[in-house]
This record gives sequence, structure tokens and C-alpha cells, in this order.
Amino acid sequence: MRCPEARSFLHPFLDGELEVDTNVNVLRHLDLCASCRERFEDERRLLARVKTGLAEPCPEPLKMRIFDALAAEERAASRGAGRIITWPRLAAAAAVFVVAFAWVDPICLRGCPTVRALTREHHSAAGEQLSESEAVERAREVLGRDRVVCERMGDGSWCCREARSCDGGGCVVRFSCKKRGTISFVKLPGSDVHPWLSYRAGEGLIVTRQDGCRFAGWRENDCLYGLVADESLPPEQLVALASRLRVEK
Amino acid sequence: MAADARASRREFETLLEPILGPLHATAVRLARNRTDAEDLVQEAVMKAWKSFATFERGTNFKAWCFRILTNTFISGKRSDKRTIKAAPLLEGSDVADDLSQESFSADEWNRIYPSLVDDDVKRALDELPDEFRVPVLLSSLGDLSYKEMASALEVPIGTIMSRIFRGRERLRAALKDYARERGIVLAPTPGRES
Repeated sequence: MRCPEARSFLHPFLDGELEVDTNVNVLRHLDLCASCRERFEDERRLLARVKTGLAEPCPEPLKMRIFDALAAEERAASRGAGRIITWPRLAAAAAVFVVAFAWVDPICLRGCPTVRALTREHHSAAGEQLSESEAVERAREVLGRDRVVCERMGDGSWCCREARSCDGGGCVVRFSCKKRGTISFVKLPGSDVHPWLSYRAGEGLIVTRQDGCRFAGWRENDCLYGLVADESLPPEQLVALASRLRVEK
Repeated sequence: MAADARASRREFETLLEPILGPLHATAVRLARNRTDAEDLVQEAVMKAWKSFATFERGTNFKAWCFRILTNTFISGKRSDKRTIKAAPLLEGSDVADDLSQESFSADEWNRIYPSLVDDDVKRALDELPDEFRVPVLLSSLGDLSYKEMASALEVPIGTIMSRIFRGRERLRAALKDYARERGIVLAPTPGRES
């Protein structure tokens, strides 16, 4: 084997993709050829450096979210396996609630001079087993909007939201749903009620989600309005933004 | 029935936990955005869980999950109307020519290596077009064979080989440029063919 041929096998050789015979021939050539040996060794070091450079652990909040979702799927599957449909259950399943809040992409939040990120969400109940088109249709009706995006939750329910974008200098605001079961509530001193249902802007109650993001908002007419931002945005600034939104609304 | 479902989930979680890091790292570089990457990982994991019954025990779980992650990413891109563009195949002679042009000498490597930081590697990878970035990532972090990548990306194995080669060469060239930006003097690499 000559150098050009050996070098044409460089990557398959390093990736363990060569047939045994070819592999042996490449190894024989490398035994004899110092420059190819150096070339192959160089590539091996580069690949090792790329691998270590790209490695990073999975964030704990994501891990928890995934395992929570798996547990919810398992519970749903177990329930489905032995399910007896009763009228009270159907009635409960038919109950829907509407919450509203906005996810503001933190990048946008920093770069966006005007935050107009109010939206409403509609959650179907877990166990209703709606198809996506049924969920969209219902959300259009409840939210009174044509442009609706629905996302399937880990428990099989649908979270639908109005599709909107930030109008501040062309940046994009990404609305996301509250993923039930992934939010941890932080009760601040002086509060004696659940912040999820009792928050009023300006009172300093903030919900910290398991993914490290904070939610600040308020409840109004069975809807929840507010903002979510990552921890880089100081809580007082988030509260101020939420208050401003409330006033503008 | 519930006990079976719980045992199955535990088995899945046991297999999943050690590969969540590589899955997430790959998703971050695929999506180039941490929020989308997290959604991508979660969506892929939930898909994997839903088809876990079809997973053949004893085969490569990591490769199986990476294939699902890749398919999820690609189908997301397709729905975004941003398909992965086909890259032209590279002829064998081009491969040999390019290989002789961009390699580091041992001395060069010893000067470049200490100056490289993880962000350099990430930046170099992020600058690659999708058609090169995806196979390079899957080979570096996913343990996918060429055949498995070809199947996931729906291209011939020869195309995978060509893209891996060209992707890695671009990475090398970018890292060399970063080293030059930092003032490290690198001599042009001499031809090395015997």
C-alpha cells in the first residue's frame, strides 16, 4: 500500500470502519511510513480534542424534567391499561382551564426594547385524549385566536397558545407552555397563599421553575399572566417588567 | 401490568442516564441554541421511550437514541423548510490531496493544543454547514457507525464518508486559523507523500 491509498483510509481507519484485511494493510503501511504515521496520529489527537471539547453534562433540571415526563407517561399507560370510564371521570376530564403567561426568550428580553409578550394559553385536561386538530380547534374557540400552536404535554394533555412575536426591533419572543409537573414553587416570606394562584405583580412573589427560570405574573379572571426569564435577569427587574406589562395590558 | 410498566421504565432510565450528557451535548451543537436543544433532547427521549418495546435488547442503545435524536432534529428542520443541503461527493484523489495540505506537524500541534479552548472547538463546529456538522457530531459523540449515520440521514455511506472527511478538515482549518489569530506562527505544511 502506498501513501495516497493509506491516507484515503484515514477516517474509516480511525472510526473502526475498515474491513480486517484493509485494516491490516494500513497498519503495515504505518509501521513503515513515518510521515503517514504522524498524519494518522495527528488526526487521532484532533478527534480526541474535539470529543473532549464538545463534552458537557446534561443539566440537572433537564434530567429531572425528562424523568418526570417518563414517570407521567408510565402512570398514564398504567391507568390506560385498566381504565374504567365513569361519568364523573369523563366530566372531570372535560373540565378545562385556561392559564396565560408568556415565555420571553432571555436573549430577546435583553435585546428587546419593548417587551410585549402577553399571551394566553389553554390546557386541555389530561386523559381527554384529544387529537392535535381537536386541541387546536378548541383552543381557537377558547382563546379567540386563529393562530394557535399546540404542544403535547408529558401527561398526554395539550397546551395551546396564541402564536405571537415580539415587535421590538425584529427579535423573536418564544412562547412556551407551562409544563405541569416541572415547576417548583418558592414561597417568599409573608405569603400565605400559593403563589401560582395568588401572585400579584409588585408584591415580590416569584416562582422559580426547576429549570432555573423564574416566573413573575399575576392572576386575573381565571387567567395567569406574566413573564418567564432565566436567572440572568434579576428578580426585581423581572417583577418590574411584569408590572409594566400589567399596566400596558 | 403496572409493575411491568415500572420495570420497563426503570430499564429505560438505567440505559438512558449515562448517555444523557452526550445526547444533550450533541443537541446543543445541532440546534446551536440551548433552549431548542433541551426541547430536542426531551422530544427524542420521549419518542425513544414510546418505541422502547421495539428496541432490540443487546444492540447499541446509545446509537439507537442518537438515531432518534438525529431524525427528530432533521424532521424539525424539514418542517422549518430548511432542509440539509446535499454536499457534493468528494473523489478519492481530492481526499488524498486535501489530507496532505491541512495536517499539523507534531511541533505545530504541540503549539496549537495548549492554546485551544473548548469554545474554539464548539465555535469551529458551529460554523460548519449542517451537512458536515451532523456527521462529524454523530461520529464524535454518538458512536454511530457509518451505516447507522447513512440510515439516519438517508444518504449513501460514501456520502457520509465524504462529509466526515470534509467536515473534519474544515474543523482543522478553523482551529488552525484560531491559533493564528492568537499569534501562533504556523509554517505551511510541507507535502509529505512518499
